[in-house]
Amino acid sequence: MSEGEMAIIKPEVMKNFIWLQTADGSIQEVEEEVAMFCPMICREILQTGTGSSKNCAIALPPRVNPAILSLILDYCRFHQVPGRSNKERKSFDERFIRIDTKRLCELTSAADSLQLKPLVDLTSRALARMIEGKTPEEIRETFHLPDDLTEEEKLEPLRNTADDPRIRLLNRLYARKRKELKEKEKMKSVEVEEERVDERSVDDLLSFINGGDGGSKGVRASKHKKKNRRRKDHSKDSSSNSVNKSHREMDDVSSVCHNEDESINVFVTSPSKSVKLQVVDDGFSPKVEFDDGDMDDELDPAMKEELDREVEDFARRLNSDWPERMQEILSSGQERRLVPISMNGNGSLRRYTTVERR
Amino acid sequence: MKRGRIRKVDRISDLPLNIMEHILTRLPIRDAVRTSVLSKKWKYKWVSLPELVFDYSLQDALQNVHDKIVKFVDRVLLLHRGPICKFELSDLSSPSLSDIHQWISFLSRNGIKELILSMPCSWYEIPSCLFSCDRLNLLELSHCLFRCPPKFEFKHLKSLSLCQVEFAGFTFEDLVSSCPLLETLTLMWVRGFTNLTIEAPKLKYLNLRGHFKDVHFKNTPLLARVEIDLDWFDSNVDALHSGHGETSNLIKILGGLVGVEDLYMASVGILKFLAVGIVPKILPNAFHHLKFYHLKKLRLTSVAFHDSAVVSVALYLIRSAPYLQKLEISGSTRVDAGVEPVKELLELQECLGCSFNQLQIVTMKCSFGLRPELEFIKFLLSVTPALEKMSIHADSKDDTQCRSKLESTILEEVMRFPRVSSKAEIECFEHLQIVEYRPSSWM
Repeated sequence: MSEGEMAIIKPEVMKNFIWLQTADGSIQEVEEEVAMFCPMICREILQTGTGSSKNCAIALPPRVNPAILSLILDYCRFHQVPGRSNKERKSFDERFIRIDTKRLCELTSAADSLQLKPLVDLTSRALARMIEGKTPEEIRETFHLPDDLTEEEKLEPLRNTADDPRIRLLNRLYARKRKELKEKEKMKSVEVEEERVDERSVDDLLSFINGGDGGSKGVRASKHKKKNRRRKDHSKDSSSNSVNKSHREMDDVSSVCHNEDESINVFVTSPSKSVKLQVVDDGFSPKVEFDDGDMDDELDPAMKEELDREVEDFARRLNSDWPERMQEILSSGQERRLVPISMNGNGSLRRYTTVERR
Repeated sequence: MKRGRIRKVDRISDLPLNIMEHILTRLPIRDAVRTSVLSKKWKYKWVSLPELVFDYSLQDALQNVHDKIVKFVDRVLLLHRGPICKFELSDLSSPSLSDIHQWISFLSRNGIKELILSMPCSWYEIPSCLFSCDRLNLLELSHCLFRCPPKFEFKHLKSLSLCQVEFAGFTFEDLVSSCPLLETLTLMWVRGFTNLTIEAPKLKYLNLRGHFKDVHFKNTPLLARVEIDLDWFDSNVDALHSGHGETSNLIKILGGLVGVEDLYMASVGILKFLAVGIVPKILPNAFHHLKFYHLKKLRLTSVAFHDSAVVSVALYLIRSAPYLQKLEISGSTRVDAGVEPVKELLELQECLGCSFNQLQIVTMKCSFGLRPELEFIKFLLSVTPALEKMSIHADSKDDTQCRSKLESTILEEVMRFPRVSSKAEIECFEHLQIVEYRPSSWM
C-alpha cells in the first residue's frame, strides 16, 4: 500500500508508517499500528526513535527474512484490530498455521526473536501437534531429521524396564561394551569378535548366576504375557535388521523377564542377541515389549557381516541343542556353570570377574 | 530458497532451546521423552524440560501394567537434568505412598516451584519433606492427610488449593499465616475444622466449598474475587445469636468482602447463614456504612424466593453495590410457598425508592417460573433504569408435553411487566433441571 493510495482512500487520515530492515538489507514499510503489535519493534520505536524514515529503519534480528516478515505482519495486521471476536481470531489462527513445516519453523524462530509471544505459542502448538502421537519415523519424515542414532541410541536405557540393579548393571555393561565395539570397529580390529564372544559369556554367566529355577516356567510365562510387536520395516531376511531387533529384544526381554520370576534370566542374556531372534522364530517366543526406542538403526556393513556370521554360527549351535540345554538347566545347578564355558571356552570366568570389579 | 526440487532441510532441530521447550511442554510427557530417539540433536532436548506433567494420558499410554507408570516417572526423574519447576501427578492410580514420598523428597532438592498432586483414587499422608520445598509458588493437593510440622513457612507460596484434604494436628489459620504472600486460595471439602477464619493480607482470589459452621473474614483487604459455596452445618437458627451490630453473621462475612469485584455465593446454606437474625423489612436499608463500591458482578444461587429473609439479604447486597453491573440469580423456591411475604417486601422497597442504576445485565435462573420469582423479576424491571438485557432461564421437568409451554407463559407474563428501562431486552430459555453434585462421602 503506497502512500499515494492511502491518500485516496482516507484523505483525512494520515497514517504513520514504520520502516523495517531485514538482515539481508531490504527495507519495508509498515503501518505503525501493525508494527507496534510486535513488542520488540514497539520498544525500538519508543526507546531509540528509529523507524520513522527510510534512512533509519529498524534493524530486525537476523532470524527474520522478508518472506517471513510479511507473514508476521499479516498476523499482526489481523490481530491488532480490537473489534474482532475470539472466534474470528481462532479461525484466522488455524488457517494461518497451515503452512509447510519449513516455514512454520522459520516463523516460530522469527516470532521468538521479535518477542511476539502469541505467535510463538501458536506456532509451538502447531509444531507440537505435528509431533504428538506419531512414530519416530513419521516425525523424521515430517521434519527431515537425520536418522543418525545407532549404537548410541541403545545406550539410552529409557524404557519401561525394571528398575532392577541387575538390569542397570547389564545396561551399563552393554553400554560399555558397545562403546568399545564402536571404537574397535573404527580401528577395524579383529578383536571385536572376541569381545563380543566374551560379552556373551559374561552375560550368560551373569544370568545363570542370577537366574533361578524354572527356565521353562519363565518361557511359558513370558509367552503369554507380552505381545511381540514388530515394526513394519523389519524384514526377517535382513540379518542386520534382525540383529538390531534382537538387540532391542534383548533389553526388552530382559526387562520382561526380570519382571517375572528371575528364573527367566536363563533366557535373558543368552549369548548372541541374534540367536534370540532365531529362538523367537522357533516359537519359544519371549514375547517382548516394544516401546520407546524402537528404532531401526543401520549398522555399517563391516559390523553387519561379522554379526551375520555370528548369527549363523550361534543359531546352528544353540538351536540344535536348545531343548537339551533346557533340560540340563532344569535338572542341576552345576551344569549351568559348565555350559557357558563349554560354549566359548575363552576363559569366561576370568572375564566375568573383571566385570564384577567394575 | 527453494529450487526446482524440494530440498529436505532440517529446520526444527536447530531452533533455540526456549522454543524447543515451548514445543516439548505442549506434548504429553511420553511423547516428549520419545523425541530422544529422533536424532542425535534430539537426544537430550527433553531432559531439561522444566515442567513435568504425569497425568491421565500416561495411564492411557502405558496401560498401567506392572507398575509401569511408577517406573516411567522414576526413569524420567533420574534422567532429567536441571531444575524442575513444575511437577504434576494427576489421575494416576498406581503410585503408592512410598513412591510419592521419594518423588517429593527428590523434588524438594531440585527447587520445585509448582507442585500438583491430585490422585482421587488414593489416600495418602503428605510426607514431611514437602515442607522443605521452600521455593513453592503453587501447591495443589487432593485426597490426602495434611499433617504439618510445628514450625514451617512457605515463604513464596502464592497459590494454594486443597481439595478433600484432612487437617491433622494444626489449624487452617496456622497454615494461612505461614504463607504470607498467599494470593489465591481454594478450599474444597476440607475436613478437620468447621470454623474458618481467613486472615490473609495479600489474598486476591478465594474459592470455598464444603461445610462450615462459621466463616469469618478478618483481614482480607485485597480480596477481589470470591466464590463461596458452603453448606452451613447448623441450620438451627435459634441457637445462634441474633444479628445486632458488629457480631452479626452478615457483618462477619460481608465486612471482609468490601473490596470484592466479583462475588459468587451459592447454596441455600450461606444465604441462610447470612440471614440469621435479620429483620427482613429493616435490613435492606440498614447498615448503610457497608458498601461494596467495587462490586461489579454478583452471582447468587439457590435463593429461596419464598423466604423473605433470604430475599432481603439479596436485596441488601444489591443495594449496597452502587456500581453493580451484572447480576445473576438462581432460585430454588419451594413450589407450594406463598407469595405474599416477598411481595410485601418488594413493594416496600419500591416505595422507598431504591434504584439499581448501574445494573446492565440480569440473568435469572428460576425453577418452574414460580410466582415469588416472577414478582422479583417484576421488581427488578421496575428499578433498573440502565438495564440492557434480562435473560430468564427456566428449568422445566423432563416432561416433553409442557416443555415449550413454560417458556412462553413466563415470557408472556414478564413482557407485561412495566419496565423502567427503554432499551431492555428480555429473553427466555428453557433448560432441563440440573442437579448439582455433592460428594456424599464428605457429608
